Amino acid sequence: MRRPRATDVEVDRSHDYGYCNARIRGMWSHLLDRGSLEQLVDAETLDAQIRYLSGTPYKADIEEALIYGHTVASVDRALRANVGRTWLVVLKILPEQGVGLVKAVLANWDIFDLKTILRGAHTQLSQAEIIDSLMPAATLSAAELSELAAAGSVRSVVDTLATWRMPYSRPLDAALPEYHRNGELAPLELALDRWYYSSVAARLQHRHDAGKRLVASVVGTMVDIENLRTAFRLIGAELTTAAIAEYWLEGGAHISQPSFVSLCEAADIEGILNAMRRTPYAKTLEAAAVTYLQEGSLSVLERALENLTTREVLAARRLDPLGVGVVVAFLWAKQNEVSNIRIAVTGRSVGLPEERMRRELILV
Amino acid sequence: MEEVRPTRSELLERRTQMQLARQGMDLLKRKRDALLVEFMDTVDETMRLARELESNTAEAQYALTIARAVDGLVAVHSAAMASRGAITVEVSGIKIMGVPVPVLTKADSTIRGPLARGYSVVGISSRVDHTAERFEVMLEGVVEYAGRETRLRRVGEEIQKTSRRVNALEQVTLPTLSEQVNYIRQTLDERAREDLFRLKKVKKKIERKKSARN
Repeated sequence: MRRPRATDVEVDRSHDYGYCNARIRGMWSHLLDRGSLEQLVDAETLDAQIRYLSGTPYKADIEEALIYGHTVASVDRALRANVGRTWLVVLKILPEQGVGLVKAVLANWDIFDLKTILRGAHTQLSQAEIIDSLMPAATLSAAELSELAAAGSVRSVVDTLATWRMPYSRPLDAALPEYHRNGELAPLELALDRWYYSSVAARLQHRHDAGKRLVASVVGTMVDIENLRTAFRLIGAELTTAAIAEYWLEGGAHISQPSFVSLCEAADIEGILNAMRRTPYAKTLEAAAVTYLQEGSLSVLERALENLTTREVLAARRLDPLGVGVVVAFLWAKQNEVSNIRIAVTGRSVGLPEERMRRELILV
Repeated sequence: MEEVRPTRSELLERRTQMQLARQGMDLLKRKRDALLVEFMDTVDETMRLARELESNTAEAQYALTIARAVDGLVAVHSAAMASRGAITVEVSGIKIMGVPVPVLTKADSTIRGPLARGYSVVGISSRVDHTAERFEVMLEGVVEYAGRETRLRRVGEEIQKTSRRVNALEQVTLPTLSEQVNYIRQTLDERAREDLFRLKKVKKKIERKKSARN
């Protein structure tokens, strides 16, 4: 008979983050540090990087994915599997009061998966092709995503979600007539995004626990950055004010709908940078503006904003050391680690200069 | 050598053939020269487009690498699913010195704005969007290059074909005909000399008989 382990003991974790945060801190200690990432970037070949990753907590996933070959795609598959599993562990150890908050943050991936399924259904891709581009990590399980991927048409995907009484069906159902009229997916995707951010904002309004303010701040920054990214691309799109307002996402911390519209109506990126002077993003955008002007690439500004979000979210660990802050910060740290590994591996496989790889890394 | 009947009519026929071959050769040489001028013009344009396409492809690949690295394979695949589309290319034809050359014309530009790529701009990173844009620029170049390259290939093939014909006329047909004409002329001259000799002999015989009778 197996000896009982400490983890087998039933603990009432409905309100206490102590157990959860202790486990999260343990998991945090296994994240790759700056030195390890530097070593990964310095590794001369993809095989050397795979060997290196086989000596980290990614070992099991890497070994499993290598049956598909020693390729970047295999490493990417392993990283996705690892992240998915890690998030399931986090959701399992969370106290009940934190599950809703964390799921609200992770539901971003549900939105990504649903968009991918809708795109696949729209272009009549096979179930296997769609599944290969999914990231089962949040409330929708791999089985549910697989079922949706087999639906065959956009209408069927929405109907299946409605049958399962998934809230995602509501915005999609409302946007379906426009999709049928124009045959364009963008209105469906926009409806999903708008619904997601407004539902997160609504969910946070009805909660009064300690983690609410922190998650609200994280989501607020995420929404602001999403709105800024949209504004960068809507410059010169010649849309009416009403049409621009449709792209605005609710729940941002500093960018209201009128200011979003005026950002999109700016003559150029410099106009947006000037308009952002009085927001907390000004310093970051100004620092990145020089590189942006040299390279003319929006991704410079976007990466700088992503860097800022990551740093802000990771700071939550210190702002809320006994609450949900540690969990949210860990989710971000894990995602950032995976992103850094991917940059190093993909960069090495195509001979990207190390300097460029290092520039894309977000080291915290 | 081909069996030739050494007759006067054959000689006339061969001479006509020679004249025709010379005219044909001159025409083909002029056609080849005109095609060469067209070829050289097309080469310059094709080389410029090839360089442009090469640089656009490199930029697109680089953008794709950055997007795959930072946003991940799934994000790029997902966006690619939405931005699939068809390009309508009209194929018409023109003739350059009698060579049929296809002309490819795009119904619409392959470069779409951020709002026309199939996906919503919300939730898509500028890296993925930039990658899509770079590949659209590349595609625009591919269609233009395809038309130019086909034109170059067709003209090049025609130059080769014309050169082969000129060479065949110059090196084989004309020398053969010339040889045949010489042969017929020599044979006919020989025959004329024989006839003359025979006639002289007959004349002598007749004169001899006449003097014997007297």
